[in-house]
Amino acid sequence: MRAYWLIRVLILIVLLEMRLAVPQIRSSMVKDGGTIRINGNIDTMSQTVSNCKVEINQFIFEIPGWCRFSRGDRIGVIGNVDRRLIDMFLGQIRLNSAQIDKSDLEITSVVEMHNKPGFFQQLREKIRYKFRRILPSFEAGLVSGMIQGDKEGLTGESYRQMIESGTIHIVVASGYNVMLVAGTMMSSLLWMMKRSWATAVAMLGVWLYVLLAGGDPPVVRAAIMASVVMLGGVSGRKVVVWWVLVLAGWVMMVIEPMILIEPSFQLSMAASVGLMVVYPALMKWFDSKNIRLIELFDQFGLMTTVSTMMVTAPILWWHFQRFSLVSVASNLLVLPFVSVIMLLGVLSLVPGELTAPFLYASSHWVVTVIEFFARR
Amino acid sequence: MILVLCAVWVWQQLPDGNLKLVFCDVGQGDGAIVSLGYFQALIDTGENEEKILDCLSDQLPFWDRHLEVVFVTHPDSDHAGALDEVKRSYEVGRLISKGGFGDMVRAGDLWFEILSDDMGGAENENAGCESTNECSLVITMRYKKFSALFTGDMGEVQELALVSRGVIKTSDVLKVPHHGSKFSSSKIFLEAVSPKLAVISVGAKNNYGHPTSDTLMRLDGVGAKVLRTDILGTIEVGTDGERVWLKK
Repeated sequence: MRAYWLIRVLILIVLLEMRLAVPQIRSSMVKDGGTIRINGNIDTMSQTVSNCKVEINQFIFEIPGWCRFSRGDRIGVIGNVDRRLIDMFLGQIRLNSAQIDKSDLEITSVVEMHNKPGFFQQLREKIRYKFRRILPSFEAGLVSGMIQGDKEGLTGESYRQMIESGTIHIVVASGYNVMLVAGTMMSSLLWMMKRSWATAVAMLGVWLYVLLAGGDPPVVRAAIMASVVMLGGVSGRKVVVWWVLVLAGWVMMVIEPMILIEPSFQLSMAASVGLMVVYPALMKWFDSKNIRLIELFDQFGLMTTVSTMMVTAPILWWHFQRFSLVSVASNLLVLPFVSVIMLLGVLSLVPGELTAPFLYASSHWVVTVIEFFARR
Repeated sequence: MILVLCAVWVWQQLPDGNLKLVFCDVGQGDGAIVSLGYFQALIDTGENEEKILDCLSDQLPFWDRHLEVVFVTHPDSDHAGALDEVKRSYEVGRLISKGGFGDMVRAGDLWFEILSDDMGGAENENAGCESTNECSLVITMRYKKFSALFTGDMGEVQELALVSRGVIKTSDVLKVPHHGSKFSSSKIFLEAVSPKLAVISVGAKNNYGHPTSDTLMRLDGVGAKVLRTDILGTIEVGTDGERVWLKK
């Protein structure tokens, strides 16, 4: 049996190796190491601790500081072609020393991009503004982030406070969001149609949600896992959760090998390992020692928090050289409200005024906790 | 639990019946909120959308997403740049960007009166103003015995015209014209206003050198206590119509 799993893993590694060995193609658009100027609309954007990572068409670069734009904004950027990192699937070109174009530097080529904001991008913005109509700005950005993994509604200051209080992970669309979408759709669709059809529609819903959430690594990972689990349910096959996690990670690396160095990918995979492997092991150990108090902690979500932290802390330290112990306390106070806020947030998108007071009450509590711990 | 939180936040944010005058720290620009009970007026929005929305979020009760009046003194971006964002995030009852001497807005004991001439609005090319600044709406606000003067970016010429017409009265609070520019806040004007508090809404390390030492000296000359948003951040003045206090 062990040999069987080993062969499976080896096959995956060999296939990944073959993927990495695909010869890198060269683009005629840019010169190697040259300085280029790009004018175009932002396709995707994400905030790292100190930089804003932006993608315009196939160009990827990081600009120092806080993301001061929105998706779809038209910007000009000057940067050096870092490496001809272009692959068959995504054709990405990375720029280093990228800066917003404010001067007339000598440049070797100008690339004009004309990207219009897509349907999902417009929808994200509409949702963001819906929350702004009913909530103060920090609370609106927080709820929007929790539901669609969208940090554009947060100000630089609120983003900093969330990092310092160790709560930034709650504004990342993740497995929890996908689980909520898949679970709600499956349970309501099973009343109306056959299981196979319900699964197909729920999977479609999950992948539409992935598009709405901007396709960040955690949500893609969770969507792959949810799809495999749902398909396993239909075909009657036993689902081995850790194997599903490995497959999800593998699929993502095959599509984009560079994702391996993305902190969000590493943290997402680590958090899943924490929940699926460390948490059950930890609970089993406490159970064997007959420590009953731990069940009380577990009811407040403390054990899942500790389990994920045990695995994510080294990664956070590696990338950001920080790990705050206060995050245990802040998460303990915040996490019980996350699902409530997401549920109320979704309900507020339709008859907003009815649920807005309750949405405010819970989201303002989270904001109060964030501000309190960020000050310390 | 959520109901308890709801009750706590409502209790914490219930208006106290006093008038609040908040000069938001919007960087280089103007943005002030006047609120009395459930009435709120916004005078200019500044340019920085995040800052004015944060200020509004801090000052308005969470269930109140309605601004009764928004005054735009003139269309320069440091005064009206975030207007669209404000309109997208709040319901705006009345937007006032032009008006003439004697036009009034009243909410109970709270009065706003426009002192400047009707030039057809600063955006009107035929307005006859030398610049958009000179077409600024000048608004006086009165609440019982308390009064405040909002001046946009008006310059010395407009100041002297208003003083010579006798429409400038003493005020407890003056929003210093044009962020403390040396071309505004003339001695005659400041003597006519004689403010106790002079608020300068200005960005830290701005490129214009605002506020200038000339203006600060003239304000000192009339005995006004100067409050600057670049130093203090958002400034909140409270009054019951007689006593005036600064919120720390």
